[in-house]
Amino acid sequence: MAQCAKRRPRPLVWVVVALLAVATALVLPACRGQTAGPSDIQMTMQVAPSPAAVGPAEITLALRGADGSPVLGATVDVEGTMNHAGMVPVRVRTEPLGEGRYATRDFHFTMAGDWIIIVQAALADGRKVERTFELKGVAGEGMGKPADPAGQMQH
Amino acid sequence: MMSVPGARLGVLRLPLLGAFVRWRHARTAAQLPVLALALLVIYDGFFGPQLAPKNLAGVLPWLHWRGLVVLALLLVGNLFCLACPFMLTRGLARRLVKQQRPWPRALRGKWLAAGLLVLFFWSYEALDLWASPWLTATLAAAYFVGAFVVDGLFAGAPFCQYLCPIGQFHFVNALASPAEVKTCDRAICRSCSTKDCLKGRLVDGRWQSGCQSGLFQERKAGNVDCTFCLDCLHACPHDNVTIAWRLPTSELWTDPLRAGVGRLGRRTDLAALALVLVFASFLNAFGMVAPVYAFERWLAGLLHTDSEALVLLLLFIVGLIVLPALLALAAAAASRALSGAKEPLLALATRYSYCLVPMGFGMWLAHYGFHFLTGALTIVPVAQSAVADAGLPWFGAPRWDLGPLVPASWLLGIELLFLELGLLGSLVAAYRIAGAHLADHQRARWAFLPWAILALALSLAGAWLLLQPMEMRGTFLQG
Ligand code: SF4
Ligand code: SF4
Ligand SMILES: [Cu+2]
Repeated sequence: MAQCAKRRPRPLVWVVVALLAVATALVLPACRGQTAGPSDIQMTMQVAPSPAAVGPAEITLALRGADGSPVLGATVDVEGTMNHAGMVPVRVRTEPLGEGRYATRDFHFTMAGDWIIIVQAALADGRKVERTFELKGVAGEGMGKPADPAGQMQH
Repeated sequence: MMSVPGARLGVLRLPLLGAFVRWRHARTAAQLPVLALALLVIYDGFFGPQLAPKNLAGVLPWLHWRGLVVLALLLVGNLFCLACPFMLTRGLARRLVKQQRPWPRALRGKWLAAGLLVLFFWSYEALDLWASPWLTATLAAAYFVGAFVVDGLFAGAPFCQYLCPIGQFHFVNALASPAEVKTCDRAICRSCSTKDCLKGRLVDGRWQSGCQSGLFQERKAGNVDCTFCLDCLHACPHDNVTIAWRLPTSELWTDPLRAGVGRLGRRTDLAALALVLVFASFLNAFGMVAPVYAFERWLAGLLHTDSEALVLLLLFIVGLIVLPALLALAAAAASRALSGAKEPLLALATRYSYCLVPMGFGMWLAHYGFHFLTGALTIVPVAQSAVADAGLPWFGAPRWDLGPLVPASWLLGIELLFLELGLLGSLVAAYRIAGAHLADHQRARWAFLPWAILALALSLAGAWLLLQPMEMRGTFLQG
């Protein structure tokens, strides 16, 4: 008797489960990829000091059009992050240096390891460009002295 | 239903939680939100940005879930098995497959589970699971399929008891937890003829299963193999099962015959599992600090290889199997020599190894607690951007500045506190285990000493790890 009873379906739970699955699929229909923007803009990145190390750093970006002409009047934002969850990304706005070059102030590497630098540029003509750079092996501080105690994350 | 004085002891006496736990659909109600989160993780893991800090599959499992698991184990017990969404698939599987066979005898015990745990910790580093949303999503999906297939084919709770690495983490660390599912009054069990807590029964015309893990309440002791599923609590016709408070780690002090488990001191497989988890707490943290990369490069040079997987395999075999076994046997040998005990070495090592569980738990707490406390609020911008990417600008611009829950200056203190609490738990456990087996106080103290030294050495290693600067790389061979 218990065996029969055991087979009794309990549909409610499964209806809820199915609804949840469907709802999830509906709420997030769009593919969350990263937009790259127009490809005729070339962007190069320089980091000083080089090799990069934990502590303050200056990131300089050079933006050029397809014909090699400097891209002027853009608003360029830099975000530094890493490939593991839980760290607060370092986000700063650059200042124009002229000739299509833009440099960060107040950027610092808060942790040693592999960094990912995401650059978002809003061009004067309203177009948006996003580029991602990888910066492997940002060095830790030497001999136990944190180069940047304020930003340094102790594990 | 017959009401028993004292039946509302422990958690059941708490105002809201008590009522919730007594509700028959409590577990399902706890599972459904976690299921929804798991589905979101799988969805975002496959279709979202493949940058872990910006993906729900990077943030929710590795930051929130792990942090909340250790905190729940510290404050209550194995609440995450209680809310485990994978177990919803068991119910589904058993509806579809009518007949289950018994789990093969040769695979009972914890050897297979311990091996799977080593495999998991190795793949976590070798495949950089934490850095890969789609691998994380694949793992979660595989978990659903695995639980469905295994519990569909085999009777009882084989997935939880013999396979699930997550469950083993809970079972072992819950040895140090302050709560357990237990009877209010064993005398009632002794006079009970139906044993419904084990066999199940009809409640209001519907089948309420008993303990799938085979833990019969009359002789159940402690948290090993208990998923806090509350089946026993709902199946008992005498209202005699509760969630009771106890002194954390106190179940390590004595070694009664535990229903479904036996004596811990006789379970070499369980002791091995415990040792794997204790040492994994240190190795897992070692994988995230700066010195590990130099060490791995040195090892790679020694082996003349540039295969990271191979180097890590060696590291994990030595760190999680060889080293713990050698240290436990050495401590047992020293303990035996000093106390003049006459038992076989393996038996002694088995009995005392459990005393290191609190130390390992302290390290897990320090490590996962650190990640949780430094990054818990990053879920806010990640969720904001996930919703915005779906074309629903409900929550405004992502607040990427959010992250820590506590000031950075508190972190080291909190981590060291967890670590030292673990050490304290281990010292007390080792002392009590020795005292329980050696009537002579002097001999018990000598027997305790080597294990105390081992626990102390581990805590020093833990403190050193916590003082290292964190370093995150995809691989040690570049850069
Ligand atoms: S043992 Fe694993 S599958 Fe079972 S309830 Fe716990 S987490 Fe879920
Ligand atoms: S003793 Fe068994 S039935 Fe009771 S909560 Fe634990 S696993 Fe579930
Ligand atoms: Cu870590």
